[in-house]
Amino acid sequence: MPRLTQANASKLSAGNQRPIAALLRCSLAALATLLGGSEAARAAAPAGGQSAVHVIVHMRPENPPAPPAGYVYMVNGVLPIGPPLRDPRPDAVLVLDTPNVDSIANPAANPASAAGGDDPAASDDPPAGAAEKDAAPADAAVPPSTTPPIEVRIYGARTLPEVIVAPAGTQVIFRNDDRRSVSLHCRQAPELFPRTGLAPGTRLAVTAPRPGEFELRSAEYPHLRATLIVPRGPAAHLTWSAMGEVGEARLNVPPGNYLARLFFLHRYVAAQAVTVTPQGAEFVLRAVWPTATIASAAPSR
Amino acid sequence: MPLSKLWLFLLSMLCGLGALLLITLEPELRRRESDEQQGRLLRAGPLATQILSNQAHQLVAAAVQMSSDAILQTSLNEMGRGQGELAILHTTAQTQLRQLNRDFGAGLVMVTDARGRVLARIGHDEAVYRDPVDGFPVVESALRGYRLDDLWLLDGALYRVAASPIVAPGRDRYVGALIVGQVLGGDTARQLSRLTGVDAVFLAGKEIAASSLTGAAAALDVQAILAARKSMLAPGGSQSQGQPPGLLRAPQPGPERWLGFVELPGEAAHQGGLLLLVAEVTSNRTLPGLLREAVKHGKPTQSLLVLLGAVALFYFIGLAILRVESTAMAQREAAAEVRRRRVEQPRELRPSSGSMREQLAPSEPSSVSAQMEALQGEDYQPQESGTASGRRALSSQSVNELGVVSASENSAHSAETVVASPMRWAAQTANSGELPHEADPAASDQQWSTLPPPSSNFEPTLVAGAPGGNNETTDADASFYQVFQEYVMARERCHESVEGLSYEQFRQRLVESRAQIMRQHECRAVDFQVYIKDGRAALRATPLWK
Repeated sequence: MPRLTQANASKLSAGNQRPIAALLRCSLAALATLLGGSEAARAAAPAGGQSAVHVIVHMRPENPPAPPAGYVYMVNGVLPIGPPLRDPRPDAVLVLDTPNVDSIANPAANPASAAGGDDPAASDDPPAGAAEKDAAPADAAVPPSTTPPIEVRIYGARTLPEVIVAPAGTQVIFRNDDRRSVSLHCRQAPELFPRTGLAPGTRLAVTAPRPGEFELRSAEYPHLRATLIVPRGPAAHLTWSAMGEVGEARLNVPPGNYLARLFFLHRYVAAQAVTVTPQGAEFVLRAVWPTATIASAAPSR
Repeated sequence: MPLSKLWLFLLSMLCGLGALLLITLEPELRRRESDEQQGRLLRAGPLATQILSNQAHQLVAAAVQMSSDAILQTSLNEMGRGQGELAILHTTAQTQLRQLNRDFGAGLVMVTDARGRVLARIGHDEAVYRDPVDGFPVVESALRGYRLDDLWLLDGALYRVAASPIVAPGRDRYVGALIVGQVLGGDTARQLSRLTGVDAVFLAGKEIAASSLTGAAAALDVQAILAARKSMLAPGGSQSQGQPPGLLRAPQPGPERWLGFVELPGEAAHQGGLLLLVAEVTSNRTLPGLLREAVKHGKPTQSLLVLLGAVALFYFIGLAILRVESTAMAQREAAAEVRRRRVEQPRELRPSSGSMREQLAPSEPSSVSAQMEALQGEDYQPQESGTASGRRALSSQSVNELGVVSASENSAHSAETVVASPMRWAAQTANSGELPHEADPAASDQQWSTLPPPSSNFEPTLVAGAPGGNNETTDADASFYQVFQEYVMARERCHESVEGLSYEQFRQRLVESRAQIMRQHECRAVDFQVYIKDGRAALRATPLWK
């Protein structure tokens, strides 16, 4: 209760427009805290009353062997094996999930997103010289997000970035900068992409559907893999230190209990329950590379 | 006749053998062929994998050899350092790639810098360069230092690609990667078919990328095959009874085909890249073809052994039946021959029946009666006839013996009356205690087989009743005919000629003799008996009063 009172008092001193209403909200928050309900506390908390969460992730850089592809798989014997061309850690995403939002993720609870539809609608902002498609008419029921569109580039037979975080209703634009046509598809939401391929130089705009993780694949490039994360709560990419072992993320969330999960290499590799107080929270999340990535078959010599 | 039946039997046996071969041998050969093809498919799978692995190693070796080219190393080194004109480096690298590929003949060769951007390529889009391909796992792995291979599906064709890193001339870093690709086409499929013994089909997606099948056999229902394979691989999938695991019978009409699947490792495997092995069970329904197939399998099949056993059994059964039948036929033919001779000989005598007629002519009874009279003058014994009362009657009666017919050895036409010894006959009948017509039939039947010397005795035969008496005419005729038969047989046994003998004349003679004797002795009947005396057949007439 003191923390809530202090937070709201500072807000009152900053705004000072409607003191009676602010006093009333402060009283309600204090009452909710006395009752012990964090949900009630969040509901009673003002919109701007969020706490800063500082997440520190420890994950050592690894040099996993490349997965074998065909019959032959050996090292060259001249120079040691180098690291992967692209470090996957910048694509790591920290997601704070509220414990009682499973009903939102249930597709049955959101029939609008489960409805199919392959008729792409014209984008509102088509770039000059590029065909843009909107392949998510069923997601019209999803309220539009104020988040600016996110652009995903298909280049070198891969997507940049490979992990896309977009709140529900956010427009995601895929741009094919490769020499060949690419047709994307999503098993979790088949209505998200059209059946026709994305020609070189064209763009495709889709709307992030219901919360969840959506794996994107390409028929032309089986190795091409991207994940669209529509988080239930706040989510953010990690910023990695120069040495590469420590990553951090800063989020502003209402106080309460959350489940912090780290999404890395297209899967969740770590999870931790955290309690966010009005003063904020700071915790350390230790994660390791997925075992399947490291424990690949050793190459022959 | 038996020989012709034997040939017919053997011919039928041969036809049956052929039919049985077609019926029993063909299914077993087909089953064996099917088992053989399935086994061949099971062996062809690992063999094809080994062949493809060898090809991959050769391809990787070629990539390694190309990647060690100094010109390529220098070009990529300068490209990484930004020291050379990119177009010139591109031209230089492309020319060198052509030079290196001249002997190898790969379908696709390209070289990238350390970041995965193409410097030069040949075979596909040769004019394009600087485009990134680092997203391909094989390129990325090669840029890290791996030598490996992969399977690509480009423009509907399967490419077995190999990649090798290119090390800087100073051997201090990787400056790029070299990728070599070879099409898995018809040549590879035919090579696999030649080495494995089954047909090979490369599937890309749901289409045929390359195949060693030709003609109508190349028409495969890929959709149905993939659907059947999917159901087979599903948990609790439909695996047929007795079907080897991993094999599938082609779900399409036509000849029996067995399918084996070989997973192709690489990226194209996710796009439906698959090696399909096809073994077709040939059907050779001709008898020579079946025999060739049976010989090809090295040892007689089980059906063939059973078949041969059945044929041998039928053969022996047939031989036994044939032997029995031929024996019975010979007996019947012998009997028929005797009858034919008996019937035909009197007919032959008709035109010149004067001899018989002379033998049995009514004019001769004078001689017969004379002999009868002579016989009466000689010692004779009364003959018992019939019952006890008959014996009493006979005791007061005289018994006459009449040698009616007697043929000489040289001339059958000469008639001679043979008079048997009445004393000997009387003694025999007295010893036996039975009348001649009461003799045992079995003993009577054996009289011919146990024929005593011609001078031993005679056997009584039947009694011919007087015409108009109690006996019917037919009975008398039957008796006369039986006497005639016995007389003919007696002459044959005595090796006397029976030519010229006629039953009608014989009968007429007996009728006349009977009438004469009955008139002479006032008896009621006359018994004619055939006997043999001195190696000659003769007739004896015995009057009967009761």
